[in-house]
Amino acid sequence: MKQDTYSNKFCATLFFLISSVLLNAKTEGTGLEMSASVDFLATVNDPKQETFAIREAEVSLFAPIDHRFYGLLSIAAHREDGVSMFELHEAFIRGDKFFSGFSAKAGQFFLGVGRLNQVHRHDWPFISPPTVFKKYFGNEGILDTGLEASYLLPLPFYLDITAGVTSGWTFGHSHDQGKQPKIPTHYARLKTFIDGGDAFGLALGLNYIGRHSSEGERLHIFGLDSVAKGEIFGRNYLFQTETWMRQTTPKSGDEDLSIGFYLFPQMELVKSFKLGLLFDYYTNLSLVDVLGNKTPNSDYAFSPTLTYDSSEFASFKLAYKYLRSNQPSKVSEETHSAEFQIVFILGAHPAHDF
Amino acid sequence: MKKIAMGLVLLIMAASCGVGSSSYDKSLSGNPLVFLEKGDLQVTENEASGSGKFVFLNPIPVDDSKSFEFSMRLLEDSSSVTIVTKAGNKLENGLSIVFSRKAEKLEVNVTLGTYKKSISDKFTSLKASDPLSFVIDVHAEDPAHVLIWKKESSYTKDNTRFNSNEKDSQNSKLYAMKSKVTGKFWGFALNKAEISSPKVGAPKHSHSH
Repeated sequence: MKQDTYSNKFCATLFFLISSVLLNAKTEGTGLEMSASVDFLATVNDPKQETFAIREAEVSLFAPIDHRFYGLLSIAAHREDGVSMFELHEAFIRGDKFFSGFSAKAGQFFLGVGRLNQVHRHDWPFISPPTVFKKYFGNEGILDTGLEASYLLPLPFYLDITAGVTSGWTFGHSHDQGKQPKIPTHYARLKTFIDGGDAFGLALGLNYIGRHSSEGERLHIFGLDSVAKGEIFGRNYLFQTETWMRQTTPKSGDEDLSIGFYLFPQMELVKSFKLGLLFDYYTNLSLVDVLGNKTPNSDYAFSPTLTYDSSEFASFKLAYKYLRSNQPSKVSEETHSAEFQIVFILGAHPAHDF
Repeated sequence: MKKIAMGLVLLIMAASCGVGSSSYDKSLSGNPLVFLEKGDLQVTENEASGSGKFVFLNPIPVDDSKSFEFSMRLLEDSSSVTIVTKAGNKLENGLSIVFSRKAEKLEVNVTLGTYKKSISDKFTSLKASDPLSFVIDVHAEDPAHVLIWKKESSYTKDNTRFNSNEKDSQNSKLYAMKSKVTGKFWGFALNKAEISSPKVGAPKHSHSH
């Protein structure tokens, strides 16, 4: 309760500051823009979620800082034990005017890997994270403080390389500041794009993330992501997929190897209405029982999702989710749930990549 | 394209099929187990009693948060029940919670690596000679987060007997764990005690963000 009070005071103070800054910005013409987004979620038959909840509320300020740099500051409120807690989300400075094709940023940001990890949750094409994403990156993605640089290679085709290093004191969901890792979180991404005109655009990415924790656990994550968008038979379509594989080797104990992927084809039905189907699959490849026998296991889910986009500032999604878990330690479990999401955005919204 | 689709289907079918056959010593509440120290343990369909140590056959993925439920009776003074979760296959290096009886008093100690805490003061209202049932959530976070409830209570954060992330009036976490869990197995060590209906399942408490 005390935290709630602190959080609300902080929030009120921050809103006051933001309003003041914006008022000044308008008069001084600094180009400062503000965005606020709200992600409301209603669920039926999901024991892990409250029936109605503001899953996330985010306020962002962004603007060119000067002729070389751009800055962004965002705070977000998440539900934590039934209480909305405001926290610093992203705060970074980015420059892309040093030399052709090069950009760099410093501060706190979502790591520039994969697809979902680089897109705020309220802009995802489906409601809930696929299992593999949730297991490796948490419900929302990996956020950390550090440096990231990208370079568009001077080649006759599009090839961009991104590399970054972040503190790595924590990785994923944590309740404290973590501990200094032996090797901080480091990552790289190779991205290419194929332009097929109106028919399609295809973005492909190859990713790597590594970390060596304070306890001596080595983490390696490899990923492949792909997004295709275009028009077929006069209707817009989207096809998005990511495959991730994770290897963790603790200082003592057995290596853990797992893999998972999701596929999300989506088609426009009529203007503003889209229908998509999320299929996701995850398995641990190194699970053995006490006697050393390999134990097959899997989690998979189907989630048809109907989306109504009133505009780019208001979106409504309705999804049914079937999840099946085949784990050796229990009888296979099936769950059926439904989700309804409303996302609305006030003010400007920073542009996303393809 | 057909080959890729076929490959995916085969991968799913291979991973979704049943558990391979393993030899084990007994089964308790449907959970096959292997004795580590047989002692004078007697295991029936739903109950294990006596003194000894056993580990359940099937693994739990390291990064899965789980709840562990069981009922127990500490049969005489100095009896104890130790539940070890997220451990190695000999129940080493796991999160260990020891419930022991000292006269009518219930003593409870938690160990994970170098973390060793007595949490007996959280259980003073319980009589050690009574039948007791607990639900223990072990969240595979870094560091681990452990919550203990008396069974059939409401499984909220405010209703725990023990919450390793609980903050005191100074906003300090006195019982915060130091490391994460790293093992895949769970089991029990009994000392003149009995346990019944052990069960592993989805965590009772979850973070919704």
